[in-house]
Amino acid sequence: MAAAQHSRPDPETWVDEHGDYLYRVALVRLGSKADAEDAVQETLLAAVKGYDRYDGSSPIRAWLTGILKHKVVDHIRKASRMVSTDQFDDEGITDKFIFKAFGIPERNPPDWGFDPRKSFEQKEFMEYLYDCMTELKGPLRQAFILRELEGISTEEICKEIGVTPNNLWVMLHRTRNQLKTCLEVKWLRQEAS
Amino acid sequence: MLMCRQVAKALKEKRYWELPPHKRAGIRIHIALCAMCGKYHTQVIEFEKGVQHFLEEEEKGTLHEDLHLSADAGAKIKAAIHDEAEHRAE
Repeated sequence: MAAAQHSRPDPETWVDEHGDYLYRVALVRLGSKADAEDAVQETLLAAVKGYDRYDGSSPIRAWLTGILKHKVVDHIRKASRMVSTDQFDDEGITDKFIFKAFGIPERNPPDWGFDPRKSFEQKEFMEYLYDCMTELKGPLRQAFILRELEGISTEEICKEIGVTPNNLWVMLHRTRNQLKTCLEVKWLRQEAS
Repeated sequence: MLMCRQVAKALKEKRYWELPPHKRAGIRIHIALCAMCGKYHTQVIEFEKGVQHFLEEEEKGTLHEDLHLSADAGAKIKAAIHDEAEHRAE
């Protein structure tokens, strides 16, 4: 059976139909309103230029989102070349890191201030996660977005942002801790109010 | 049974939910029994599951519907699309 074909909407309707959605996808990944707006514009112009390649096998929104995610990754790659990752050198990490060996923590981490299984099911909590991810800064943000949201391989991320695999693991560990703290603050504040 | 380092290595290479089922099962058994890394890796996995859930919700387009492209940016992008479409039609 032939796959369902999706319509080919007029590009001049894209901003009204998909602009806000694409903006939200870009904002959490880039952390800046201006960068997110630029990414949406670059995406939609690239899509107009490449519209001949849209074969209708997926909804137009999915196609546009795919282009946007490429733009986001390109943006992060360019930004990472301008940001020093010296703070993540091996020596600094061994001084401060809480692992006695790779994968074996020096001590057990504290409990979370929320029940992850229940919380992650709630839309409001997901919006807090969105806010906390949007607030991440610098190389930690870049590493986290590439790895956790875009699923780029460890090897490729290390090449792009100039760190070793162990450094990347530490960066992701620190980012998860930042997000955990941010989520706990927002969630507890919401529960208290 | 997997060792702590093997669990860490597997989770370093891929997101938990992208690992094959047999590997996920091995990891689950390890972290249920391991006093050294079990709690830490449980939190890593729970977090990755949360992010997976976030991506599913994001795709539905229902998160933060209060966030909008600014009117200025929308108008600028519409004009740029219009110009590009006209240029291509020529």
